Amino acid sequence: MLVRETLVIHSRLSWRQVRGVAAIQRQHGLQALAIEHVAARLAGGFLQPINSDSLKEAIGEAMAMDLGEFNDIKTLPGFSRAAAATLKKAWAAGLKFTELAKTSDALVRSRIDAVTRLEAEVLKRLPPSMRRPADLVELALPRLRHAKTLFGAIRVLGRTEMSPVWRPFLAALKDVTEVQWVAGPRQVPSWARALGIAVIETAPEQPEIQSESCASPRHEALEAMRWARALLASGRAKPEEIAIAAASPAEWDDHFQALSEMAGIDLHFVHGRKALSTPEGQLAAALAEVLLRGFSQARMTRLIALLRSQNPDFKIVPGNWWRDLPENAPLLDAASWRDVLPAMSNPTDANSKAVVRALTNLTETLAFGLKRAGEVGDILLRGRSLAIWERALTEGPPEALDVTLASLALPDQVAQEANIIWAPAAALAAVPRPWVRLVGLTSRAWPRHQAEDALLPNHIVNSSLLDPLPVHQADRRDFDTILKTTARQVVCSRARRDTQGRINGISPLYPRAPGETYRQRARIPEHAAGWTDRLFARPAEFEVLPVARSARSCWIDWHTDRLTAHDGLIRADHPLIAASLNRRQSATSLTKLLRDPLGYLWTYGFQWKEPDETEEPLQLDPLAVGVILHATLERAVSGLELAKPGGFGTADDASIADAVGKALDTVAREWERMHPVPPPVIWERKLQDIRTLAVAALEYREQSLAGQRSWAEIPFGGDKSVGNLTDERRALLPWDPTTPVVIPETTVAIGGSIDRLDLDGAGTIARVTDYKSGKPPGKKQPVLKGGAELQRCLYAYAVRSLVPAVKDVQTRLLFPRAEGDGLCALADPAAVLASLAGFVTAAQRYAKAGNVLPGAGAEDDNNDLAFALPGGAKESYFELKSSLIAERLADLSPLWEME
Amino acid sequence: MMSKACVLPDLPARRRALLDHSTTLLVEAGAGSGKTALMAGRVALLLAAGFPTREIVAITFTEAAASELRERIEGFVNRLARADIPDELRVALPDGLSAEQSKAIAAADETLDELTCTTIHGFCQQLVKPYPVEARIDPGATIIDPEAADLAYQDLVQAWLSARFGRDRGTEGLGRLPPLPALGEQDFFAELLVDEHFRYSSPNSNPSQNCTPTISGRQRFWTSTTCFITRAICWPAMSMCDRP
Repeated sequence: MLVRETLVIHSRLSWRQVRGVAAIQRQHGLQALAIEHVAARLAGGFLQPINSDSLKEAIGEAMAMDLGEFNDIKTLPGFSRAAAATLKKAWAAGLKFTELAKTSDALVRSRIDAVTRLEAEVLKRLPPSMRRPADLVELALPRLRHAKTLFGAIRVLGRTEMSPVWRPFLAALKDVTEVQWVAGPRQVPSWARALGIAVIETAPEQPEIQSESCASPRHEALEAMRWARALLASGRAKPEEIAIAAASPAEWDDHFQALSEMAGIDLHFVHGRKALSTPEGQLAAALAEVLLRGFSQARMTRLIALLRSQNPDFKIVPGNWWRDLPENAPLLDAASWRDVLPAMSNPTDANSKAVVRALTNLTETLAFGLKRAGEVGDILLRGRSLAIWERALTEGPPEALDVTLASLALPDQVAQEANIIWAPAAALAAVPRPWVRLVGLTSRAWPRHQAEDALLPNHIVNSSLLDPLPVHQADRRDFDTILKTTARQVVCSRARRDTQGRINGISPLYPRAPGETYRQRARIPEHAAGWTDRLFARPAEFEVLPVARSARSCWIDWHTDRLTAHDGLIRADHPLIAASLNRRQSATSLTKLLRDPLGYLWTYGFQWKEPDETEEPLQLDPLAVGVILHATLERAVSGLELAKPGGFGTADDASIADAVGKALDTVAREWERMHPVPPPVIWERKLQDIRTLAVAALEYREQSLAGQRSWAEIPFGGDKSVGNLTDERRALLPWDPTTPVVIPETTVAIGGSIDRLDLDGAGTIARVTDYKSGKPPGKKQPVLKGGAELQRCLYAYAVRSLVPAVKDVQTRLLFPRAEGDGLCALADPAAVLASLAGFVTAAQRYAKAGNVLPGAGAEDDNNDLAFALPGGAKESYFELKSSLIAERLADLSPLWEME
Repeated sequence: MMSKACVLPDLPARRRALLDHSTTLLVEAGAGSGKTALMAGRVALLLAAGFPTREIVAITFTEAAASELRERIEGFVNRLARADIPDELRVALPDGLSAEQSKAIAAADETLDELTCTTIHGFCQQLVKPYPVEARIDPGATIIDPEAADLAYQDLVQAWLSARFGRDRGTEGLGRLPPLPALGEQDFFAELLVDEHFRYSSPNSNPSQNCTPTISGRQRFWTSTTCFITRAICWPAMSMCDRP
């Protein structure tokens, strides 16, 4: 038989709990409702209480209206949240603003006036079916005669308090149907008895109470998982009998999410999971990132990857769509995307056209900008991610999207009925479980500090009227309730320090008797929470893993005064070394080989390079300055030479400046497309600097050779830039750029590009110039500079071997920045080359023999692979090893000391 | 046996610090001589004298000191409520608590949560929060955690520098910064950065000296971003202050 019966429940958790139990017990006719739904049901068919989303939306729309003294703060990001909280509290408390306005205090009157305006504007904008609590009660009271039919007997479950607005309604209900306040062992509010409501009480439970002090909030969560797992494994408890709770769970959410995955134990997050922990939330966040920080290759790549998996319009985009983008190009605005996208289209592939169209549409949509974030979301997002986006936009302004997204929670997909719950204490107090762990019993977290309402603070409306159960009292009461309603065990834990390492005070609620258990952070648990936890507890097991053995031997090797595999001793004739050595070398790679053999292996064997992570640098790095300068010089000189053979040698200052200007323009535009550049003001300033340098370099006046001809950036030895040469330019070169050049007395082939070459008319005198954008050297003129300065010597030899007629080669560095004489000539190239050849042969021999050790070059300040050396290598590692390395590479190391 | 406190030479000063509730006192003493205990004791005796918990403020310079002070105050009040007089307070309560004092302490024991025991930042936030309209601050402001605040700050500095050097995302409609005014015009963000930089970078900065003079700039900053209040606005208003 159907018996109508109604349970008045407290939260979503208790609603699901009650329905689950009712279903199992086949209690047909039983309904579980929150008190506001009871009132709405009685008030009339389609009426409903005001829900949070509608309220926030209405507040958002009402903000355009005149809100009295709130006008000054209504556009601030947190206003809508604060306004919603205030209205909800005032409604639940049954405050009558008209009464409050009758005061002589002008301050109070003007505030009440503002709140009244706000309320009126909000009510106008709510859906017509939604009513304030007091209105629902007012409409319900005349229809009490239907209550018995609608609700049958009414039982109020699991509560210790009910907002004042509902109290007279409950009292009225008891006159027409049976109403019971089922308190169990909980505290009973005095008004319930005073109103004559029947109260059902039971004796409190007597759980075992323990207290544990943990190191940090994360450690508390870890101990909680260990405890839960021990309970499950021992068979003492089922998952649905276990609860973990905190007064305010947010601080531990991330820890529990991570640890539950590690432990393989599902937790039901009663208060919901962070939206950002879901793929849909990540998509919303990626979109927000582009709108908040602007276009960039990295941000777009992330966004498109997420769109591909969640929006059918982007399914056609292949996973590696970005392959055709210029690798380092930052693409910082819509315009550069518009430039780069069409180039990705393959005319023969219909699909690629559709992909480019989709990505172009995406760019155009994003270009709507932050102000139209709502529209952007409507176009790009679907389903859950769209819902997340819309909610974030009602919570705060678009400028705050990242913050609001981070604070959004979604209902948890893990079922509560069969799992451990992670809950706010208030929820657990309403729906007890026999095994409970309470975390966060510190002076700040439990009870939390009372905060006055922001819009109706204590000096406007007495706090006890607005909020009869303030948060600190509620926290205390929930704690008390949990102790009384838990059947088997309550373990309370506190963190000795907070996340930042500050000492935490102890909560006044923390049970001192029978004495707390002190948990060390690194203790060995009786019951590990998961695989990594278990490994931490068993160092002996970890020790024998290959990764641990390798790490340990590496550590020992780095700290012992002998050379080992961890310093770069490898097997002789390693194919990777052989392959690298057999390739054509450049001045740069030879420098690496001579000064830092290990760095040579990393760079040219493994192809490692320093990652470039800055998309928007504030400066232009010196390497880039050098590259741009060289490219400019090359263009300028070849431009002059193309105009007229020998044109550079005879050009006047004005035409040089003109040629440099044109060359730099082209080079800079090209560079902007392919590389990150600093913001315009700095970039333009830097380009100006490069222009001055280039002009200074080319205008550097020296006696022209008789019948001089000049070349710039001339490739030799099969350098890779040969491929870029036009036939026209190639024909003008003094040599065949593919002819191999081998360092005499060695097997090492070299190639490269000579900054500038002047030949006299007879072809017997040559001048080789290498431009240096850095600072000029001091008094001491470098020769090989410890192996770092090879160009002059190598290029002189290249010229000599490729133009056999040349009798005399002058080879110099030119520092355009120098005041006065910026030329730095190499005195005796042939002798230097002979000594260099000896070192190259030695370096080659060592590398082949497997002595790939870090040389003096590894200690250079500008070694971009320093990150791969032991930490603080200069201070400790090289102190210990450099003399051993120099000894082992005895035929090479003298070079490092040479001028 | 005499209790330890009885032999201390500064006993009259200690007694006064505990009992003279009508005077503003500056207590100066060496490290380890018991200033914090004295301050906790003064709060306990204020409570015993019947001052409401919510009207007492105890301020220290760090969170750790604040929670330690709170712990001590709670310890004293709990013991007094059990008529167990701590050594440190014996000098002020040689004959234990009177009936009236016992009643006041019992009441205080129930309302200890309402005691404000915090840092100067926490106290100022507590002062300013109930007045969002008057102070023109965001009524929904919460304190962002320090790591996130630093990230957001760096982010904004970068964006601003970049914009000031000519890459203004705001003109594209993207980015958190509104389009910047032309050079020479008032740039509220620059004003703010200079102010914040000054406050962050000077290790000896005294919070009361660099009270924010640029409410309007700050105000607009909070409007255009949502860092909320990263650092509370300070003014020299403190009732008790313990500097270790």
